[in-house]
Amino acid sequence: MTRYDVIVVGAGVAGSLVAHRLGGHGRRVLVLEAGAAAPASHEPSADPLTTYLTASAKVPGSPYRAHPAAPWPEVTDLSGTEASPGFRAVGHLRQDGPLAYASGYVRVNGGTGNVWTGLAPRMLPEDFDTESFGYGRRWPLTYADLEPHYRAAEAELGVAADADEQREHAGLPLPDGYVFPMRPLPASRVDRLLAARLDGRRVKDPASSCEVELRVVGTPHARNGVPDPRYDGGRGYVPRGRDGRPEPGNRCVGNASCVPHCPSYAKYTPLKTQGRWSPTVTLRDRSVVSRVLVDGRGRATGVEYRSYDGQVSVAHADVVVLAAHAVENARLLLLSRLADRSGQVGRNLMDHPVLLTWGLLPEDAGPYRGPGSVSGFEGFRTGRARRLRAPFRIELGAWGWAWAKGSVDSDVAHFLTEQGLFGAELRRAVGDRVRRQFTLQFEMEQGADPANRVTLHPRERDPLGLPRPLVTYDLDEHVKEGMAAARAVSDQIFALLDAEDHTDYSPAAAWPGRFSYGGRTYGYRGAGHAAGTHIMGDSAATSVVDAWQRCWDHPGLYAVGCGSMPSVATSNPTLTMAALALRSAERVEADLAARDRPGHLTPPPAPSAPQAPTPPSPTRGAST
Amino acid sequence: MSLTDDLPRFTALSARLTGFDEVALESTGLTGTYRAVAEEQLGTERYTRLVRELGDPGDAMDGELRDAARAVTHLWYTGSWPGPPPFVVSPRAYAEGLVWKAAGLKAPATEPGGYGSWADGGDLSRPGDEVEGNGR
Ligand SMILES: Cc1cc2nc3c(=O)[nH]c(=O)nc-3n(C[C@H](O)[C@H](O)[C@H](O)COP(=O)(O)OP(=O)(O)OC[C@H]3O[C@@H](n4cnc5c(N)ncnc54)[C@H](O)[C@@H]3O)c2cc1C
Ligand code: SF4
Repeated sequence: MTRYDVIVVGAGVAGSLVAHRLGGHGRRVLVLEAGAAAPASHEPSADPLTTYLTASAKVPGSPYRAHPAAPWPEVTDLSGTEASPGFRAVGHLRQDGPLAYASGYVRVNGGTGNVWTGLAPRMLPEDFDTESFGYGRRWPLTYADLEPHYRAAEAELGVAADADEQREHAGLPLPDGYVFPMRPLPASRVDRLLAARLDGRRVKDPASSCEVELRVVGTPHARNGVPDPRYDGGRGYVPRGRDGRPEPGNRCVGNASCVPHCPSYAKYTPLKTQGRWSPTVTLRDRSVVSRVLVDGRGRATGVEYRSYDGQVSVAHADVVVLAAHAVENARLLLLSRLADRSGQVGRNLMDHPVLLTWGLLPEDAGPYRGPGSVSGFEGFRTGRARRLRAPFRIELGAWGWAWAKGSVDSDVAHFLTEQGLFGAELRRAVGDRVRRQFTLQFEMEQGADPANRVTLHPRERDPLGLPRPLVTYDLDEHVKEGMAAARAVSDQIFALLDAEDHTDYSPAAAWPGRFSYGGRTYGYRGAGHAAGTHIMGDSAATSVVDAWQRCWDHPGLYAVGCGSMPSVATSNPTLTMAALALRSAERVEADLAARDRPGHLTPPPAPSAPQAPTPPSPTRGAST
Repeated sequence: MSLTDDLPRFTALSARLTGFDEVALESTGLTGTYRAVAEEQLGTERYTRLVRELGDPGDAMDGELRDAARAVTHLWYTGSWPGPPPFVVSPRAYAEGLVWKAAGLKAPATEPGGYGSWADGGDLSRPGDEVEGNGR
């Protein structure tokens, strides 16, 4: 049997990046992926685009068909009910909490990273310590520790953004002279409309009683725009197309289908990283890892995995990196009964619960023509108000009411069925309705709370016989206070815009995430940003992984991904996760290099504190 | 009645229901397909009643006929039969959905407008408003 240096479990964003970095060092890496890389000979060979186009419900997993042996939770597994607890969950991810955990993920090769939106902002320096605001958990590293890795992640994902704008209006202390690989994407029509009407206007935050100035700010995007010739000391950047091939002219062309599939391959997906893997990296798909193996002293020695027909195999390596997504990483650690000295495995599950408000502008909003959201309002993310309510980032939704109401089919049904329109009247009403639609997406920070957790279901098993994940989830007062403030901000924005507010969290069935607070009903969606299930910290007694994402009691075992994040703050988390994964890859490489050094018979002592010497950081844009 | 004979009737009916003229409907290349879907889903009897009896959709229709008329209109506007269960007829049907044409748009993932096309859309100003956008 081939002996590997490293086994990576899961070929999503995190796993693909770790394998890429280690393969680049000549390491023999086996990537075990639960999902399918391509249809088998007896399966329909529909490509993701056709599958998506012909799907009735254009949900995130719609370009793919799940194999029963590697199921995933889809948003359609959840429905709202009138009776308590107000929702019902079927399918892979079961739930028994007071409120619905409303996010899913995808188990095919490339993972959820195939279907993500591709918004790639950094976290802010103060986000790494929310304890000073009275909630959540402190990171064992700082923004400054992560900064070089953010740059490396921006190179790997190919990020388009404006450094000056990020400095000035998002509050990021970017190094002087830093430029992103690509120039910022042009603002969408709705961004320009809102900027024209709202920039410089002030709204009141009812939680802090402070006034906040509105300003439309471009969001960093992991999708191809115009390369910035100043990047990397003037060497520039070459956009990557399908399978990561250099394609200087590849651009986002406005397909408006980033979730779940970009037909022009402008959006970053892990398949682009996989296309650049060295020949020392081997992908084995349809391989569902079911257990991590350790020796008598707790050191990781390999994994046990199953093919779709249930056959069990074993693979060995010096290092095992779990990169199976926050929920599945926790499930794997629980299945293996490992790394749980702190009792925190599976706990502290976080997401960005998203309050949506939607309406009609007085004029054409130009919906459904570019990325799902190009810009946002950044003024509610920082500062003292965080003590009083959850902070939030406001994304300007550019796909009409799609996230709130489903596809435009529901607009057609509304005029046909509820209003009884036909002919010219119908055509006018539908056209006017769709053209003027816009949505505000308030992404709330949710702090780490050990009560929000993933466990193994006591009875339900998947077709391979593995217990299904069970989630217990709730939103605390801090988040609800944030949503109440967000709604009040929304009301003021709608008034300033002369917009007709159509926000209405009914019927109950369409809103599994719903609660009443202070006499008002709120509906929320899940952003897909699962985090916190193998939380990072500076002590084995209170956390699952250390600052390098190593499981405390198991040399050679890493758990990487958003699961390690002690706070999700208000940034979409994947860029931060990618930076952490690249940083961990360097740590793994340093471990392996120490192993290979002549005369070194025992593994080097693990650097215990996060202040331990950092392995050399990659230079900006040096990844190839 | 043979399958092709009543295609003009079906197209004429569709034009009245949708508010798009027959040329626009024919240019989608879907009239024959939709005629077949409608007959199959409604059943020949109901389908025949619909194309024969429906003069003006605003006329007093009985419930059954009204539901059939709505289903056919929904098909034209979205490319999918409303069900139950709903299904998308084909990628082409999705792309040709009249809902997008009514709004002056293209169905997502079918006919992208090119880099930066999402920024366009004519004048942003309303009377009395000074417009700058944010320049990007
Ligand atoms: C609709 C949607 C939109 C999103 N948009 C954004 C956005 O704009 N910005 C942002 O920052 N984030 C976004 N996210 C979140 C983002 O997708 C995730 O943070 C990211 O994909 C997580 O990467 P990962 O590698 O940890 O997990 P994944 O990408 O999910 O990859 C995990 C991989 O592990 C495999 N796997 C699972 N179990 C096993 C097993 N037992 N054995 C072997 N392999 C296994 C899976 O098949 C999968 O390939 C979005 C999420 C969703 C759902
Ligand atoms: S808008 Fe279109 S081209 Fe651009 S990233 Fe999204 S899907 Fe791709």
